[in-house]
Amino acid sequence: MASNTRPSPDDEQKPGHHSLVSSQSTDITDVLRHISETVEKRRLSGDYPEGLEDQLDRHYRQILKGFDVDDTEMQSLQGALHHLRSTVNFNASHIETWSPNPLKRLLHRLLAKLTVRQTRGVLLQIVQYTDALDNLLSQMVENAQEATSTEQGQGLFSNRSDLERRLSTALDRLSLLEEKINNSQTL
Amino acid sequence: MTEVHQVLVGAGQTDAITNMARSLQSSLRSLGPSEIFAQHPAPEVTDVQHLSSFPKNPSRGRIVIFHASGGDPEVFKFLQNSSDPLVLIFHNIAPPELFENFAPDRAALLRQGWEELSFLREKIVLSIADSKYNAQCLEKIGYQNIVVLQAGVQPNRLHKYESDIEMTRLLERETVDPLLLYVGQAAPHKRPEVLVQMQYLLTHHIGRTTSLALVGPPTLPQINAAALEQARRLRVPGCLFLGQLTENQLATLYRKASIFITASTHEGLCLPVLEAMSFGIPVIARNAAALPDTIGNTGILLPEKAGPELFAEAVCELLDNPRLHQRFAKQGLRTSAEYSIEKTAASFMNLIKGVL
Repeated sequence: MASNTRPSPDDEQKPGHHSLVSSQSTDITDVLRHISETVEKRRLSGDYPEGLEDQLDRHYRQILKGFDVDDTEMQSLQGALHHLRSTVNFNASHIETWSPNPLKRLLHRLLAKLTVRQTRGVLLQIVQYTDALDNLLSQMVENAQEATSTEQGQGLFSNRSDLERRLSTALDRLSLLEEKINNSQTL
Repeated sequence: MTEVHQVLVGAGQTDAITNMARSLQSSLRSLGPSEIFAQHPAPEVTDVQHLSSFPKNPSRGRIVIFHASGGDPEVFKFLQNSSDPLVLIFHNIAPPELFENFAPDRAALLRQGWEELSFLREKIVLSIADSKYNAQCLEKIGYQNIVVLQAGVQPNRLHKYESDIEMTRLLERETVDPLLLYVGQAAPHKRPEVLVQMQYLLTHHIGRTTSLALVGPPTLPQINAAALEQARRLRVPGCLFLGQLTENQLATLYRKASIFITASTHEGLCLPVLEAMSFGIPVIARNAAALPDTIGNTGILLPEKAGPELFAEAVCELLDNPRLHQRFAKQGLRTSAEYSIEKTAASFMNLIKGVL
């Protein structure tokens, strides 16, 4: 189903504050220069208040934060653990033996064959160590998750969400005020 | 007997990479059996098999074509253990850092995708990139002798689809001309919010009457949800978030749109831009990643960091400058025709025969 912001009678188009004409050129360099100059003119004339783009971007990011679940920190911790696990794929075949120089390539491969026993031994030790590390980290993430779901943890996160909601409301009010000012200027 | 199979990470009914694989399949079947396999085929997809059903016994003369667009441990394991000659078609991988705050798991998979590509390098007998930009990305991780070929790209694939009546009615009811169109997934690097902010400036600050349609799968639903919410809070009229559409619905939109617009900061090729060009629609985009190569002189390329103010002004320029609009439209038709499957299929088949 489509979601939209349907035009309503309240959304009647206002006449342009400054009807700036197009370049009427087909030369792309001229066109790009004209576009930049027109934006600059709108900024100077006050059509675009100072810092408008930054304000719009901040507004969006504020809204976006509200769409993220409150356990963002936990998600990122779990993501980091997932990434760590995905990189635990120790294998001798992952050790680079390639070189653009054929002689060097041959030498690397020969060395790899000669030291295969030692390489396997080192890899086995690393695998055992990472298994232990994985267990420890999994336990820590689990504990952290439990801690955030306690009463104290929930309070902490809900306070932050409240603050974000209040900030969003303030930004909404600012946008409305700006719209009213623009309307009164047009009239 | 010659067999050339294609392997994808995911497959969807209207997914661009799956469609490219389908186009190639018809050419590859002239050599022998050719199937498409994916680790994550969407339930509605019937012409793609699950990777687990890939024929186990190696056979002489069999080639595997891997379409790389993301990481997946199962696909990587399959490719690493495969004894068949491996051909890579690289469609690029989205920048993981942009996904970190929204979907850490997805960010990890994207990062893994780049790592897997590095590990697979020695196994690849032929590397194909579908844009110069993608070839440069492969070169950075040590790939050499990369062939740039838009294999399977069909910009005019939607022309055969009739307009959808319901979509036509929806557009008549909910939009006013001119219609600005964006097609792409809802992901952080696509920056749909910049387009909503542009529509806000057009309607509230410049006093133009335009509509904006945003189309694409909800890869990260909160991206579009937040953009829609911003449109509501700023009371921006004429913003339509249409989600994923059928080919008929998409063709309807392309026929209706006046300008194709994207604020994306990362594209490996950008098939929707080519589709728009094939409908004679001028494009406005950022001068980022593969976009300058794909767009060429068929639209306005704004600076890489362009914000909604420049986008809004570029729209005004195109709408008020009919000669420029017409020039871009004509050039777009010519450029998109150069990408036609008929022209690339012969080159692609020659490359595959070279591997055999």
